[in-house]
Amino acid sequence: MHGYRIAVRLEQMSKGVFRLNAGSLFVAFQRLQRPGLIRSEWRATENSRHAKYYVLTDQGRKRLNSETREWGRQVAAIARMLKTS
Amino acid sequence: MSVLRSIAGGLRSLFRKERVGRELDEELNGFLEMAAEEKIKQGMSRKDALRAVRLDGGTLEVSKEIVRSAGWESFIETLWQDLRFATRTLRKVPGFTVVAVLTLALGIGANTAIFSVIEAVLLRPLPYKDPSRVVLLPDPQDPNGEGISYRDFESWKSQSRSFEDMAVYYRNSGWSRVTLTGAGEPDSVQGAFVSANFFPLMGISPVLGRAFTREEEARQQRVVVLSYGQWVRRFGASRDVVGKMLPIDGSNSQVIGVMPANFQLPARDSQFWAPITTNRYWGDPQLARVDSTHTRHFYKRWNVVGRLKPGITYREAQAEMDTIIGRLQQLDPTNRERSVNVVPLRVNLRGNTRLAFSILFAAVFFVLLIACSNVGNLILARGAARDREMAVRTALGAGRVRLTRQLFTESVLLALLSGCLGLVFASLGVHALIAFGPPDIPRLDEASVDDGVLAFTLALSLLAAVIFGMIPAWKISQSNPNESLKSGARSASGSMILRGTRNLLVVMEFALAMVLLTGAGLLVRSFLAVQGVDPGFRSERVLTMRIMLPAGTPESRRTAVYDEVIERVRTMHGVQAAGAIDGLFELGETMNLGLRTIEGRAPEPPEQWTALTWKTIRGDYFQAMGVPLLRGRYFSEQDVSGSPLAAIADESMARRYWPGEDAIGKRFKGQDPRGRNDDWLTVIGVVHDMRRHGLERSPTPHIFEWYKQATLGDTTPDLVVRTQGEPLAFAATLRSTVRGLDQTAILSPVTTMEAQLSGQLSPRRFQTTLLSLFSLLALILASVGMFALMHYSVSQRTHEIGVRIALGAQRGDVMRLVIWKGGQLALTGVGIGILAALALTRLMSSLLFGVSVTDPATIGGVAMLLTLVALIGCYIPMRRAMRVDPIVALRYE
Repeated sequence: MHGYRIAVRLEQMSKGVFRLNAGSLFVAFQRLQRPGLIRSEWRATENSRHAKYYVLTDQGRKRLNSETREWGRQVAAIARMLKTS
Repeated sequence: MSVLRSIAGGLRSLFRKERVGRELDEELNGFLEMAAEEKIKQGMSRKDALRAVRLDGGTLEVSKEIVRSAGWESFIETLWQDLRFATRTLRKVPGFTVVAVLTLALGIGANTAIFSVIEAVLLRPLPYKDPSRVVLLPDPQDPNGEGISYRDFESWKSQSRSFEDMAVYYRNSGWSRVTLTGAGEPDSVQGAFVSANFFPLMGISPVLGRAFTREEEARQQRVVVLSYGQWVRRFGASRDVVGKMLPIDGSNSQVIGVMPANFQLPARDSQFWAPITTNRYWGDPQLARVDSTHTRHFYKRWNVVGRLKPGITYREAQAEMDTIIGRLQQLDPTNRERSVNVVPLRVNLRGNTRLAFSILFAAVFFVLLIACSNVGNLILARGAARDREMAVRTALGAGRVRLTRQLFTESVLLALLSGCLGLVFASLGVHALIAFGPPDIPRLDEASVDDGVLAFTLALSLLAAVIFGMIPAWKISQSNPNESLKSGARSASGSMILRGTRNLLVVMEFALAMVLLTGAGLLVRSFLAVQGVDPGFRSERVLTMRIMLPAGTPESRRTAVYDEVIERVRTMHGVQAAGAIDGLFELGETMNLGLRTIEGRAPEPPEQWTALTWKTIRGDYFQAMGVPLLRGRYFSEQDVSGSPLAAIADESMARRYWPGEDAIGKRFKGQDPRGRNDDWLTVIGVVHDMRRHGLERSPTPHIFEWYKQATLGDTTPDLVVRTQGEPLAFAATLRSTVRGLDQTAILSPVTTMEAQLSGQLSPRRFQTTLLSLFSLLALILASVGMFALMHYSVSQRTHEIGVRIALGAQRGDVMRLVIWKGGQLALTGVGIGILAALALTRLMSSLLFGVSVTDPATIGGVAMLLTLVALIGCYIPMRRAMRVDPIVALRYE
């Protein structure tokens, strides 16, 4: 997926809660790409534009899984705490 | 792994900046385009869509900046950018840069030079094995903090359990001064006479050959280990020196080894190490007749050094020593050792030298502070001119942090440049310090600009950058770009706060300069006071030389040679008087002695004893020294060994024992333990006091006896000759005459009495010169600071002055305006400085002589000098202000 599509997807999926501007988005890409969690290549879009596509690497997928798990644990914990209080 | 990749990514964007930039550009552009397209699809016009996108997510440029500054490489890039910019800025104002760099370099250079000396002398660890376990055992009651009797050493060594070993050596005083002869000129040097376990105890072995053994010590074998310096000087660093002979006081000693250059114990000027038993005072043959062990038991001629057992603390060792001393005291109440200190062997510095170094270090730091505030002031002056530049940059979106950082980079660059130049100054300074330093500072010649010093200089430069860079940086945080832009060029007269800061800096400079100058002034006055001290003798036109005869010369021969020398020299053309004494000065300890009996009085208990010195003289010693005879008569040929014993006392002696009476004709008996005979001595004359214990010490009682009646043998090796003309012109004749009388005599170089006195002053001269130099530097910097401030202030107020003149102000009024401003600042600084000086100079009271720390003349004089300098600093700006043409000034509108 290329940058713009990712931004739109995030906005749709979060039902408009997360609206990323270009600055923050590309900083995030740079941060993910440097340690090799994602990689990128230039390709033509469906509208025959030139755009940079970003793909998760294996390492990135592993990291995603572990982060997701951790996130789940934390959210569940917080939810429990909120419920009991 | 990820760190590496991050670095690689960063490097890529650093070095292939354009490509990375282009890619980002393209990507962001695509992003914005796609967002816009979406909006167009929803029915917006293209223009509106682009606008909406920008409002939504920021412009292309902003986003790019955000992405770019996220990586670490942007930090380096900015730094590089700032550095280049700073270089350009500094190059554009060469006058400012040169003055600032030079000012700072002087400050940094002085600091670095003093620090490298302190590092070498005080901070560098001693070159011994486990130096923390090596301790000295000085007697705290002795005025010089050292000196132990041999008997005590023996008892301590056998009774203590805290020490692995204890070694003993002769004090670094007259006892261990010898004359080296052999090839070339004779040389009077300081030797070290040490026990054989001294070397293993210190954990040091010779670089060449070996050290001497216990057996050699016991056999009094004449062997010697050379100092590195003596090896180089006398033997040209030749490796086959071992086995060669070195005549020490005329007796040949065999060279067996060479010590490393950094081994400087007992003292920096120790030229060799020889068995303690070979010291010429060890077996004092005359004393041995009276009591073979007396000398070694009675006199405190030795120093003791010990190595603690592992795990023993100083306190434990001290406690044990206290017990031992207490026990010894009980066994023998006459034992004179009442206490001993266990002190870690640090650099063997006299307290005053340590204090002098601390004061010098504080002084150079003050100089640096003054330099920093000067440069800070210059930067502020320039900062005012750069107000608009900063304002414009702020308006264009530069953050305060960013601007501060850039200014700071400029300061750091300036400081580092100064640091480099400062290093050049420092290395010159260190050479000068070593060359002119007094000989009593150990390890001084090891001072050099090494890694540690380089690190210090770097740290100091950065500290300086922080100090003077803080001011403009702080100013930025205060400035309001809106104001600066609006008010245009005229705002440059500076805000009130800014002007206040600059004034404050100049006030501080004057206060610091005041403190430094007061300190220097007090030292100079002390120096003059010491120089002005009446030594009790007339030092001009007096030559001195030591004549030693080889050990084993028969007594009769010795007497004959000395008699002959005096006789011949006395009758030489151009000589007024010639005499001799056993020891020119007593610069070491003063011994408290009692007299056995004073006729008609009970003997004094040892507690009441005071310093007393016995001397043997020959020929016209007093006449040659120019000491007036106050009452009675000099010795004469009628005083011979059979006749009643005669003595000449000095005033102190007469006052001490016969206060209010005439001492002439009074009788007393000598000091028992020194083995004088039991006959009465009669005072036949009283002479003027001489400061034979050093110019800074008050005269102590002396008894002079005649060589023909001296019980201890006829030893008066120090020749004193008063000449009619220039004394040094006479030196060669004197030498050859004495040489002609006896070929075997060991002659020291001929020196003048004035040179001897000047040598005694050398530590004081060193401290005084340095502090004066630094305060002079402070004075110059402060006046430059005042000049810069007034110059700037006048140029900023040209308009105002023009208006004043146009409205009828006279030249005198304008002059008063400028003088009043400068004078106010200077006087405030001087006032604060006086208070600070009163508080700080107290610390140096032990360095002063004949002047109190609150000496009003010094403080007043320095205050006047500073005010005068401030006025001079104001003079040129004042002239400029007076020449302001109102028409020109107002035209600036």
